[in-house]
Amino acid sequence: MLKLIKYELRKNRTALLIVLAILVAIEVYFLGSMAAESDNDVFASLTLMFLGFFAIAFAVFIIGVTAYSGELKRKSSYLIFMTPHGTLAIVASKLLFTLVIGLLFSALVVAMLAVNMPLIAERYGEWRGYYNLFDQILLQQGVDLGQIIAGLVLTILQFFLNILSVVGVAYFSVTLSATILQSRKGRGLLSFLFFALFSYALMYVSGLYVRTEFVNGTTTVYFETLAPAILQSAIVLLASLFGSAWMLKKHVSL
Amino acid sequence: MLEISHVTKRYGGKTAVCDVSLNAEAGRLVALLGPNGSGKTTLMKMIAGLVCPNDGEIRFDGDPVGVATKRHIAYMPTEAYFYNYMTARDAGRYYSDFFADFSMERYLRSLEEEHLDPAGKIRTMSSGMVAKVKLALTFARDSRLTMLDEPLNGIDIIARERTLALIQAHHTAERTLIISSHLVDELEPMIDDAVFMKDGVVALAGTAQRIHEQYGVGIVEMYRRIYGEGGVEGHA
Repeated sequence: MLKLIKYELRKNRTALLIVLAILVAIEVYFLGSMAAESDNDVFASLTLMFLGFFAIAFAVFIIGVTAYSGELKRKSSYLIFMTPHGTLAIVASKLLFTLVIGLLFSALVVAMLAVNMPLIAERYGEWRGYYNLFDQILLQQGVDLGQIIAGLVLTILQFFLNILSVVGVAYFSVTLSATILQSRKGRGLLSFLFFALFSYALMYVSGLYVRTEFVNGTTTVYFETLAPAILQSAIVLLASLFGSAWMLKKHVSL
Repeated sequence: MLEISHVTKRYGGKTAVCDVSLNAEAGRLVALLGPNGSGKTTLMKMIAGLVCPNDGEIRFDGDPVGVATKRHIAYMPTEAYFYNYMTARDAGRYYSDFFADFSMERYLRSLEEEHLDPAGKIRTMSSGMVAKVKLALTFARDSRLTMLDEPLNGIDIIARERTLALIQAHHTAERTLIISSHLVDELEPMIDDAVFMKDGVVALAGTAQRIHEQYGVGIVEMYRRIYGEGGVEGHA
């Protein structure tokens, strides 16, 4: 499966390099703004950076789904389906590819934050004072900022897993269109409707177990609050993976 | 070696392959014959695992088509099937990564004999050059079943002669070849078994020798009889 992932990375190298180039450009803009001591440009670059981080999450989703969807429609799919791999390994490799690029870009984002935050703190020294003041206020309220950060990390993990599960549902929809619905008219619309309705249903279900003590909780509370959502995402991801693999095994028609 | 049992494939309202049953033994060169749309390619794809039949079963050495059979089956499609970024060398590396029976050395030697640059991008090659790359990749595998879908299409006469020589060399007692082609006359001297497909069904199947004994004609003439007016059906 590692070789399959290797070729996924190679196939999508151009798209990944474009996303990387955009991030690098934003970072260069920020560093240049800091060096030029231009507050307007600093805030503009920070805004772009903030938007860019969210855009990356969607870029990962789009790259992951379009890579799979496009493959099933092209003759190049012969290459992968002729190899001695089961359909489970084939679909899993594509999901893992999405996970790998998500992790790589997340690591890049963390690295950018690690470089940029100290620079911002140094230039805008009063922000450190605001941070300390905020921390003190929260402590007086019985809230530990470190705990909040831990909760934030868990939230980001859950968010990331949620994106993967949405990718999984998208894979299932694409596979449905390419296999069982292959000979039906309007199969693209049908599979999109399935994706939209199923995603909505999942959001509705996840909304049923939202807890209110998340804001003032401890790390344990954060974990307990997020555990159902994490579990749901994991179940959806696995079900989508096995469902897609089954459909390809029984109904593939390249 | 290869057992095809009552295999049917439907695409919506159209039946591409209808209740086809065939066996192919080791060491045989099987010609899969018929006009466009007769079901040859669909049948080959089902054997290769690229298409699932709606009914029936295909087994290779007793195993249903799947991971185990793909290790021993090489399929050369009619179309170009490479990723856009691939050079000829990249395609060889891909095969080398996934097929244990692939020889990179043999592949590069074939490219050299055909005057193809391994560093050349496949998507910029002519159809004839792509055909040569596909053949080189397929014959660089030491597979037990090799399927060639229209291997003589789009290549010049000299390359065609070289291909026929490669087919001949690849045809050993341990290997089975299934070849579909419209250029029946060029293949006829090598054919052991012939399967004539018409509208998704087997119109006639048998050894070349039995067809000659039973009908008094060779493969080429039988092709004309089946796909010309009237038609002959049966098993020899």
